[in-house]
Amino acid sequence: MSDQVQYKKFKNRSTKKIINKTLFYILIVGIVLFMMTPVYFLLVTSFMSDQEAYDWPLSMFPSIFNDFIMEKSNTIDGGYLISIYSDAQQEYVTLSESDDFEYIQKFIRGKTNSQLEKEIFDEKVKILDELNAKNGNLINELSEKLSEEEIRLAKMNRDLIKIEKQISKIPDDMSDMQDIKNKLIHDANDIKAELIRSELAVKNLKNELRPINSVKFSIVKNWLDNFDTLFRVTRDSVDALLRSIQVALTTVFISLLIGGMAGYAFARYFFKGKNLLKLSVLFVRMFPAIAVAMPMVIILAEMGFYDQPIGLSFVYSVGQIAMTIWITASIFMSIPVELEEAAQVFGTSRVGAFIKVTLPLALPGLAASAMYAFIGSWNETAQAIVLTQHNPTFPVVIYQTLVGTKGMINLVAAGGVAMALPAVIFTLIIRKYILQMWGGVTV
Amino acid sequence: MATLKLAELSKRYGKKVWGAKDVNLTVDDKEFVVFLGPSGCGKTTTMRMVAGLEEVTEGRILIDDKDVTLNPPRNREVSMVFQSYAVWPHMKVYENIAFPLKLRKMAKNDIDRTVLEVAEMVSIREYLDRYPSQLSGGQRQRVALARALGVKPKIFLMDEPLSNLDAKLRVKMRTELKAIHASTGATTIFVTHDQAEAMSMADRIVIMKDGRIVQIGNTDEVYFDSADVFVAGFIGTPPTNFLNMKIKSENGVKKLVHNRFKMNIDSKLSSCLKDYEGEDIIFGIRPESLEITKKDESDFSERILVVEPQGSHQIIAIDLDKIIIKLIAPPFPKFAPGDLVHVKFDRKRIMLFDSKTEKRVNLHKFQEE
Repeated sequence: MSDQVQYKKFKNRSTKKIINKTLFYILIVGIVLFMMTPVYFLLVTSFMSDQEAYDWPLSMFPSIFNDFIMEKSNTIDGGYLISIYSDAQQEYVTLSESDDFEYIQKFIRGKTNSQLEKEIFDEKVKILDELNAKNGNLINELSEKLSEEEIRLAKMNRDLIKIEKQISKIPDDMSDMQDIKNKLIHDANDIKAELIRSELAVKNLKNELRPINSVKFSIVKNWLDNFDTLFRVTRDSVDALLRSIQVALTTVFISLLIGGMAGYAFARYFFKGKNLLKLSVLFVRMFPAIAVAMPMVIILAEMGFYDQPIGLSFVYSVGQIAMTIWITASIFMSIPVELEEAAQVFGTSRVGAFIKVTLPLALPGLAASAMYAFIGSWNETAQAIVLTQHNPTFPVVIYQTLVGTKGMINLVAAGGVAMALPAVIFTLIIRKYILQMWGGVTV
Repeated sequence: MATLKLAELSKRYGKKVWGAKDVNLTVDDKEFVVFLGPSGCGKTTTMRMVAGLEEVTEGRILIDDKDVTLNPPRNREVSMVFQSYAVWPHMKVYENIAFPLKLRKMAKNDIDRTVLEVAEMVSIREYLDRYPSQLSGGQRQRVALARALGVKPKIFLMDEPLSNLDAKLRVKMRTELKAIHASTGATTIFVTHDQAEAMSMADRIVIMKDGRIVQIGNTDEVYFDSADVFVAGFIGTPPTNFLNMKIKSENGVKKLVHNRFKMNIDSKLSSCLKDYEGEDIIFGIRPESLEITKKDESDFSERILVVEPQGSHQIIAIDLDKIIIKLIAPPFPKFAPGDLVHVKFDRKRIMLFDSKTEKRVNLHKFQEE
């Protein structure tokens, strides 16, 4: 008996353990997914066309093909009407109606990221002509019916609006008008029912017409079109990208050189006011970047560095040096001073001991510090807007795109992804050094 | 190998604190000298000054009669084993040992030969292409030792090299270090706070306190001829027992008077005590110089407070007027707390210290019985 009880207890505990573990994983995965959602949608949107990006609900994956239908225009003589299938609305949406091929091509490219080739267009036109020749009468008949039905539909919509307006004008408390109101409501309901019937008729007619007067085709979407457009349309974005890399690397160099030396001094030497000095370094970071940037305009202009990448690097370095000092000081503190002393006893100078012993050991930490400095300077926008004019950095260009395109969010998303890419690449390169360990264990 | 001379060597921290003060010492060629003292006594500071890692405030350091006081560490031809081993974690064992040799611009095959030779000496040959993080504490210690041996220094410095090892390994390494010293004949300075280590290894022990040298001598000298109360109390386990006594003359014969008993002393001892007539004196006696005996031969009788059996002997603690006296008795017969014992002092081993200066009064060259 007692054995059984114990066994049961043990079993209970193990199920509890599994439940706990599962909950733990759900929590972790949930947090990660929650954090990744904006990034994911940014990435997905950057591959979407304008038409797709404005569909609601937004699809989880960017489509590979665009499905079009083309028919002869009823309103423009010799013109064509092109519609695209929308996943969100589950039907074809009118895109463009024109007799000018180049206009249509340009419009489709801008809206759907698909390139409509002249040959395909001509081929489809030929098919349409054949269809028309074969089913001319039927098409005309159905088209007439369709337009009649559509006119009726429009009229009924107008009537319905009118009646609803009248109903809303009649107050509830006038008892002598209630009969009229009830009658109006009855009329409105009739029209509504008729409307549904008419809409169905229109849909049926369209479905009947579609195979005989229109032609379907799919074109592969150019999935990098947003990036292409961004770099083609926005002002010197490639130059801005190179400028940004230059600024970020210079910032890393300056902050590691100065911050690293200061960090070493803070870690190895004792002097009066050390803690106060170390704390005061942090004060720099407490000021909002934009507040620092304003006076910097004048100072940099005086120095001749306004609107220059090197000037931006100087300003960014101020904040990054503070960060670097704190990181490197703790790195150097974690490396025992005896290692350096041993090197000195065994034949190096003080500087030699630093280069041969401390520096290789500090490398992973220094790499992490460099990564912080790089990303910090790479993403900085506010100061860059203030401190540049003709030579903006890449984030500034993206910002201007956001303001200038009046909401082409797919282009902005593409800009965001393009901006993240170098930072991601830099991080992946640096990561190797961060993970670099000697014999599997850190210092 | 070489000689080392420290002349009036002093180190001051800040304005007032002396890390070491007026250290005078001559270390002969091939000698093994141990700096012994409690933590903060200046032994490590003195060694670091010899290595050049600490700036000298006053005084001179001479190696082979050449003044090296102002030389940087690399120009002193010393090598050092650190307490924390200080093997470089980013270099393999081979590179650790070869690095100082490369800096000395030694030829490639000479380096190879030397590394293998010293690795053989400290038996770490099979670990040469491992990283230090893959080795145990004892093996890392051997790497540090091999690295120090490889450069064939004039002076070999060891800063508490065994204190991070476990007790058993420490005793084993002690023997090995001594064997290595015997085979290389390197002039060695060894810093430790462990008196057992010092006493078992040293040619001479330098006992330091508060930055000053208190006594220099070989193991027997510092043990039997302790220069003052500090040394007598520091050396030996358990340490020397101290009792406050008075010197009084009865019928022209000097006697040591405790408030529980009186003791006759021999003429040799009383000749040292001319100036102490009627004065207080500190009486010191080592635990093994107390003997449990018959009642009529004893100096005093008291009940046992605690018995600490040790196998080869037993340590017996007696409470004599609020002062705990420890004595070492043979393993048999067994005693128990509360037993009444009669204790006799070995007259030949009595140490007397001035009650004010705490210096030894009856200092004479120790003699074998």
